[in-house]
Amino acid sequence: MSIDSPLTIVAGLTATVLATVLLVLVWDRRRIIGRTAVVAAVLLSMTGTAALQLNSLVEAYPSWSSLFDHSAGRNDGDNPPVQPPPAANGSRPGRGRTETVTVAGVASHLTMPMIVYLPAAYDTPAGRRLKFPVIEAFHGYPGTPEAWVRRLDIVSHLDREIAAGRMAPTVVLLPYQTTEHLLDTECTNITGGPQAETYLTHDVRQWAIDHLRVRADQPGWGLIGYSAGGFCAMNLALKHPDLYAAGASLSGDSEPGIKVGDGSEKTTNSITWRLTHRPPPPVALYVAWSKDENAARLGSQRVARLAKAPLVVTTATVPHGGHSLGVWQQMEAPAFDWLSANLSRPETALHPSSKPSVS
Amino acid sequence: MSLTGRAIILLSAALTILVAAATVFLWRRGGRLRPPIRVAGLLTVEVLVVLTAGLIVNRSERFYPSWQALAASHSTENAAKPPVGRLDGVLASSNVVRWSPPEESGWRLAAPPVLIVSADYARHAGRSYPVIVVLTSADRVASIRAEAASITDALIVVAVPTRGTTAADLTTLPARLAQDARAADTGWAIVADTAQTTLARRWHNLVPARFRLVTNALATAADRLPPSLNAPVRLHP
Repeated sequence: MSIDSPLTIVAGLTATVLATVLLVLVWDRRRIIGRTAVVAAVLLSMTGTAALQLNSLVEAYPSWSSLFDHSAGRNDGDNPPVQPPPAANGSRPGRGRTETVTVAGVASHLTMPMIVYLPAAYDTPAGRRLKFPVIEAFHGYPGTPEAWVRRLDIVSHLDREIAAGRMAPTVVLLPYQTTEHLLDTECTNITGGPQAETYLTHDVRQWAIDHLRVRADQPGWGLIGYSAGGFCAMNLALKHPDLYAAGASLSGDSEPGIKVGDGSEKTTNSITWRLTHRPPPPVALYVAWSKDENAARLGSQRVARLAKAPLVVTTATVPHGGHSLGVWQQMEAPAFDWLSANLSRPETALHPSSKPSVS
Repeated sequence: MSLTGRAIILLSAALTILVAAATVFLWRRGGRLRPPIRVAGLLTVEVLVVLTAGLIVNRSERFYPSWQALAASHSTENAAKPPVGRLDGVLASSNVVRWSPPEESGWRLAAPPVLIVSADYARHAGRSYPVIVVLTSADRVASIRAEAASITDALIVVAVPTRGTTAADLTTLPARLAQDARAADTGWAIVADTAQTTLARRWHNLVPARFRLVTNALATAADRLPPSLNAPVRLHP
């Protein structure tokens, strides 16, 4: 039974009810120690169930083992390198697939797992001659890449948009953004801590170029993220216009909301500061928010207001939904369609067999 | 009652206290019904405690700022209307046409531009195509047309500017092309001869949202543009 399955929540609720019944049954038959033990069981099951339900929404701890592992980014194991699916039963016509890989960051010294979405075209004979555009997708805080897969159903969204011809076949990378479950990096290089920005912009990118048939040029790379990941997408696109052509923010703020350690949350890691103190870079941003929330709405509106050419900002809103999975599910398909229209097409590779590990 | 207001938190907290007090009051009463009364009271208190805590956190973080937000549906995304080009009928029978819309005289070109569409243009009705505008000299038009024949998945406009052509003159060209053919909103490129580079850069700077790059090679432009795409899903609040 997985940590985020409905059955687990039902089991927690059942345990709470049973503990409560037990408390009533033992109350008149036990003294202080017995009563205290059962009260503790009631409180533990009640708070535990509430925590499990909350965790199932954000996927901060995507597995039972991750509960006891302080390193959010530890890979349990033995993830093989990306290989084509077995010809007989691994491929699903018209549907992409995901692989979990380990990215050992040479520049950041971070080693973390990453989920990779490969479009259906990747495994076709024609696709083996192509280098695909790439989107890095960032999760919120707290959270893990699993939230994209399990809560936002990213694979189905991508399959649907690509099959409908609204999006080009694109490789999507879902990296971890932190080494510890409850350490919010906002994709920055934390002073004395994880060098998340370096990992995401250098190590992840280099891993993809080395191991996958993907474009290596700036017009072929984009970013997307929700909540804290939305800030990441905007901030990294603006900081690295030589690497990324476009970024999409779903309910992202204009400020990181953490202390980076070098004061850069007020300068180079503040989008507001960057847009008012640095020349605007030639990138495109898609900034989406729900009209009935405050922080992300105000931050997003600030970004749109301060943007100047050659920075191009496209805005989109939903009327209500707050800061929630329901809002991001609505925004996903439009944002991916927009990104695809702002990234280069799959490139015909001159040497189709240059990546033997994936072809 | 607002989902993030103080009133609902106070109500929930008051109910919690009330039910807790009632449970304590009834703890030694109720006769044979004592156990179920105790269980019901405790479970109700537990639910109300979690509810009150959730309301407090929600008020602070504004995850669900309204009742509507709690019930947010997936109804706000819709596929945009498929594009239709005024010249689609003409382009179905010939993928190279001399393009001479009413605005053409204002562009101050040496001659009406040549509009070239990919071979699959007519087959993929409903798709929008990225655009390559080639600014060149009259003597290179034939070779550009030959090269353009090998470019797939794009609309190509071959124009010969005169000495009097300015970037401002050309500002109406993108909108006109978007009416006449299924041109994408963004992801355009300008391919310019050396003599036209200044004009190309000025035009690019005038409409940065439309143009993606300026280059001197048709193949480079074709490689770096987005593909043709069907009408996207958009948010319609």
